[in-house]
Amino acid sequence: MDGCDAFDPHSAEAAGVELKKLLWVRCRNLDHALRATDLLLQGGGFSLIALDLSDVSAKNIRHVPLHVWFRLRRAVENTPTILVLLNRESQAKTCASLVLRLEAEPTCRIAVPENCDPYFFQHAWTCLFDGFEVHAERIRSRVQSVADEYGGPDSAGFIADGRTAAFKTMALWNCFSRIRSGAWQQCARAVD
Amino acid sequence: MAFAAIHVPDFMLQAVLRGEPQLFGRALVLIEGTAPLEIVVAASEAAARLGIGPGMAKSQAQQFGAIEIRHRCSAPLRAQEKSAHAALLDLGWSFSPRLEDVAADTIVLDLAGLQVLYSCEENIADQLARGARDLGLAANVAIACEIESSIIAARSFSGITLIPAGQESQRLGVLPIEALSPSAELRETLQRWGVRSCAALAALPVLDLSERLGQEGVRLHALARNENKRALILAEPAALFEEEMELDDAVAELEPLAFVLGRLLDQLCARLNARSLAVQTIRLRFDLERSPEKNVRTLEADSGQKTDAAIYEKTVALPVPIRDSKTLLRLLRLNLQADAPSAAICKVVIGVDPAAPRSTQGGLFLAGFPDPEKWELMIARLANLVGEANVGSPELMDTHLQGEFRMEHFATIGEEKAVARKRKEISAEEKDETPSARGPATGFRVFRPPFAAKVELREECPVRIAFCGVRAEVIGASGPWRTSGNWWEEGVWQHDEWDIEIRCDAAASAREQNPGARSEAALRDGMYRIYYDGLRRSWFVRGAYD
Repeated sequence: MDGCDAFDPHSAEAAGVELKKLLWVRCRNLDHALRATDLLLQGGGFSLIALDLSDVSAKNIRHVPLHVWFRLRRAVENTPTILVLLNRESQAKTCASLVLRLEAEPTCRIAVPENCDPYFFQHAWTCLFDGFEVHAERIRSRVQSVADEYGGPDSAGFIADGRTAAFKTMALWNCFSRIRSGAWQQCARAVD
Repeated sequence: MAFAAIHVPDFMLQAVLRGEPQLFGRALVLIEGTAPLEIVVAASEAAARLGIGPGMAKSQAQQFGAIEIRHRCSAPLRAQEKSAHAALLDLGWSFSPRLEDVAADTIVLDLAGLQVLYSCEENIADQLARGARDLGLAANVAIACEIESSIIAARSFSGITLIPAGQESQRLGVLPIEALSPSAELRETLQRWGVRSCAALAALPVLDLSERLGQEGVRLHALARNENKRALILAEPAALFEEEMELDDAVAELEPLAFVLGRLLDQLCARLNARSLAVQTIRLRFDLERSPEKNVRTLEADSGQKTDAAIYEKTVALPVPIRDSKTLLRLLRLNLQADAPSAAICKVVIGVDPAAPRSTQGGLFLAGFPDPEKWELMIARLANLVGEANVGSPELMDTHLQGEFRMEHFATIGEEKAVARKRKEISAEEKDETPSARGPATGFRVFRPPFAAKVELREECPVRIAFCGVRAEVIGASGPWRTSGNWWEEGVWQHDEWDIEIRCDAAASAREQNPGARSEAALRDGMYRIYYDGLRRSWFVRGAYD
């Protein structure tokens, strides 16, 4: 459920989403998004429904009565469907089984071949946006503890303890190239 | 070898009752001719009890009180007769591919091979009669060894008639000669001779009959003696399934129209079920009522020439074949709610493209898929809410231009494909190619349409940017990444893309931000992708990394 028509199918495919198995509903306003979510929950058949209200004004979302979130929770209870609400603020409050807060810091790396003229560092085309360093914090949970599932880093660099977790995301271009040449070095962020 | 003839007595009346079931049990009269010389050609049982019969003038019939009168030559009745005849043919084809279309009210089937399925001819006849009832027709069924014998028996005896081999003369001999359909002149001649039954005609010497009555007399003689042997003239199976109804009063609202659509869909689905087919595509056509003002202008302009009524057409393609008329009606209603006709409707025509019904085999270890009919209804409801173009699966276009895609209809996958996909996922995991192995990807939120921006450059690198009420300093930039394409056709493009990190000037942004645009929380410090359009010579913000 795309509250503001912001979904990018290219980055979704790069992330591994099978677009043929994805139903994208491009809503123009909050009312349509909520009603469409309700229709999908009543119809069933989806393992995950993501309601993206990140670009909707927080003032409008605060006007949504609490019973709407209760209704959505009730519809998804005892079903195999996961309903994920994406927003800048926590709106579902007690209706949510799990509330996660995610913050990100962008990372850049300078891709430079060995034995290169230092002058090469100074140009913008030598810098590549590499992704985000994401910090996740569990605000509220009625489900199994995160630490029980993940302890320590895994192959994707996901590091977690009881309440927080950190991981790095890859940029879109990096998802397409699976081979990283040994000639390129990773440097710390060095823009300006 | 055996043949079954199916005859619908009072076919014209039954066709009307099939299209207007509310008239069942009432005094119904069909008239023909031009006013004021219209005469009655058929009357229902209730009308016959009142004393109305064929040949009576319309004015005489109207004196008997409240009766329903239908003109046989009117377009609605012709459509109903055509539909009833098509239903009769569908009934025949549902039993045997070898069928002859004898008349509008009579068909003959070759029953070769059906004894294996139905064990005896009585079962076949019973199933045929039941099938006719399901289609809204009360039919006589007769089974005999010869084609003409079966036709005569079906037209003469009501209900189910079985004539064993060798007993045709005995069973048909008692019938009057009118059962053989002689010409009026021949009938009068035979009656003058005192020949009133088929048995009497069969007893006459054929040579003498030939001298006096000619070839037609010989033909009737052969029919009476069951010596007229011929082959079936096979009819071609109909590829077109269509029902139509012309409305007496134009209908403007969807609710009353739904009753008409429901009835037509019921008839169509019954015909398709008889042929073990389902609906793949629905073609809807409405003849719309023209406004009186338009009619006047048209007549003045065309000097009295009649112009065609406005037409509304809609095609609904179904992802899976559906046989349930109620589901089809709901889909049509949702489609019409989203795209209603512009005027009241005078005539409704529904055609369907048939397809073999789907058959699926569920898997023991796979989650059950939702019912495709319910799935399609849900998609139609979503399309009704947000627009048909805004629901579906995105399909990326084969181009280097960023953001190009099209929306495809979202369809469920079959069980076999789900199993194949599962196997592919398992093999991909073994090769460590899954996204989880690569790491999570950075999301990107697109601005549709892209925001126009003003960018300040220093040494060909962005240093400040202003868009959508936001003024910000560029604290990091990566680019330019130059792309272009389609230079050989009209959609040429040329973009220089940058990934930039911005820090907003908070005070200026709070004053100037456009409240009608994206929410103030959405446009803030972060990573954005901007591009310079070389053809329009302008900067735009494509979206934000998330």
